[in-house]
Amino acid sequence: MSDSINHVHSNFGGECSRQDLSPYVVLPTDASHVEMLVKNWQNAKKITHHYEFLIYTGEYNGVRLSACSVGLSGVPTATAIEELSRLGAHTFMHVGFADPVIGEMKMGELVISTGAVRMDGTSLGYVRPEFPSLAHFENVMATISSAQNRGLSYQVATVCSFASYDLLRANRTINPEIQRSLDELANAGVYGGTGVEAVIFVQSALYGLRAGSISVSPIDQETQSVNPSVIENALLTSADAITLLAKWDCEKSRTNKPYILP
Amino acid sequence: MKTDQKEIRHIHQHFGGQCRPEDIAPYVLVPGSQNRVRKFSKKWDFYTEMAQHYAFLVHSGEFQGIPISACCSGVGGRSTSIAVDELAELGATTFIRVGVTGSIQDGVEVGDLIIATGAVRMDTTSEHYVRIEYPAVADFEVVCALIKAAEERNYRYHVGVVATSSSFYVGEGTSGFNGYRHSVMDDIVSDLKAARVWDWDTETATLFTLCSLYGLRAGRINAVVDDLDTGLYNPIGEIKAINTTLDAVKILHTWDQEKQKNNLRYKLPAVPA
Repeated sequence: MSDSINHVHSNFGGECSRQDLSPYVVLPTDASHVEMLVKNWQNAKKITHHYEFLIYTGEYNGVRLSACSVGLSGVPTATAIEELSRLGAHTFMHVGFADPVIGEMKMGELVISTGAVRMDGTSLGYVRPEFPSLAHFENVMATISSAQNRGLSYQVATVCSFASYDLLRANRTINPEIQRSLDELANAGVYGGTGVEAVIFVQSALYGLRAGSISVSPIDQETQSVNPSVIENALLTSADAITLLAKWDCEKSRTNKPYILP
Repeated sequence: MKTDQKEIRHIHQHFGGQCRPEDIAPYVLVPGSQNRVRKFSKKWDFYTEMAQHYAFLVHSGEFQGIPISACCSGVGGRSTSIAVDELAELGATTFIRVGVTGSIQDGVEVGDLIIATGAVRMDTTSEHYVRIEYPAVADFEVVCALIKAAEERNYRYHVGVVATSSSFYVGEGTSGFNGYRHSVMDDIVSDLKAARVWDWDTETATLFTLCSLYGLRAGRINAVVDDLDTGLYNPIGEIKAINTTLDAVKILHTWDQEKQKNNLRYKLPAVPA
């Protein structure tokens, strides 16, 4: 419990202090994914569960990490980033299920985003729409390296963060404008995102923090069921990536270099 | 005229029919000034002038054995988009824009270099290609090569998001003729400064957006030429940007050869033990 709060979400309801949190935070969409992830950690300790935000801190591959679920939309995601950054977090890896744009995603294939189309709505409250929602290049490289190390299939692409989940399903046959938007995005080579990458990328760029993201489609088209191994692979890859970023940071500090380079 | 007139669909195709695919190298430098094209090609092993069409002065040759081209983009998004579309059709795969700029952030000195990771799309031209919410992002390999090159030369540099305007004066908040201003201009620089945007130009967002859409690589390095101490233009950093860019091409060429040899998709930093 932190000392004082000035609004309902301050320090996650006053239940999280700087000491509770690692600067390196994995951001799954759902609380159940946080629980799935931290089963692979050592000394995982539950810090709080405030609204959507389930927070754990523990160790993974020798690095102290935190995980915080951000929820399904821009509002809780932006709230999480605000609170986490004020508590000292500086590096984020988001991981979640994708909304395919037009059938471009294969089940289980990781989509590592370099940037996100800002159809989230929330990020418009932060900065003009022309501002690029971009992943940090160190996060992109760490995620590619981690996916390769696990032998997983991946794409590196621009994704789209949609403000609506149903937009991609029932509504597209009703509203021709939506279908045109989806066709335009597919033609631009855009892959499906989780709905919130654009928020995380924009806030991180504005605040001088680092962020990356993995989206994945877990639906087996034949059985129309969720494949749980897909979720775990994506979660573990994101934890691998943020661990690698922490190790690269040590290397940068040792060599007095601002960036890690090939 | 190298291309048969009957094959030209419009006035700018293949730079007025003056270029064929074999005239353009995969690595293309795209400065905004023709003089900078000449400054680049003077440093090459040899070069040939391939085209001089409107703003588009095109030189191709070799730099330390690496095939290379330079094409003046002209000033602004519209001519930049023509250059990128034509160069891409002629086989260019990696673009590095080299320009001069004034910094938006404090603590930047005249002669410093600014390497762009992304660009604010106030260029307007890129909106004709894809909706405004699409991000104008640099290729991370090109960004890394430019940083590495600047570090190896011990040049001062900064890395981050930049802004691209569709006008050099009023769009960047600078008064027009007779002190002309309107209200939007009063907030634009302070808003971008708060958003950690490093500098202005009039081409980068167009370049990044088009290359991202086409699956090509792009990067950008600008030299800061606005001397805040004197209030005057000072191109002291231009040669640093030129040197850094040529070194970055060498680095990218080495990485690309290594990727091809080892069947790698990307060049990545080493993983610690």
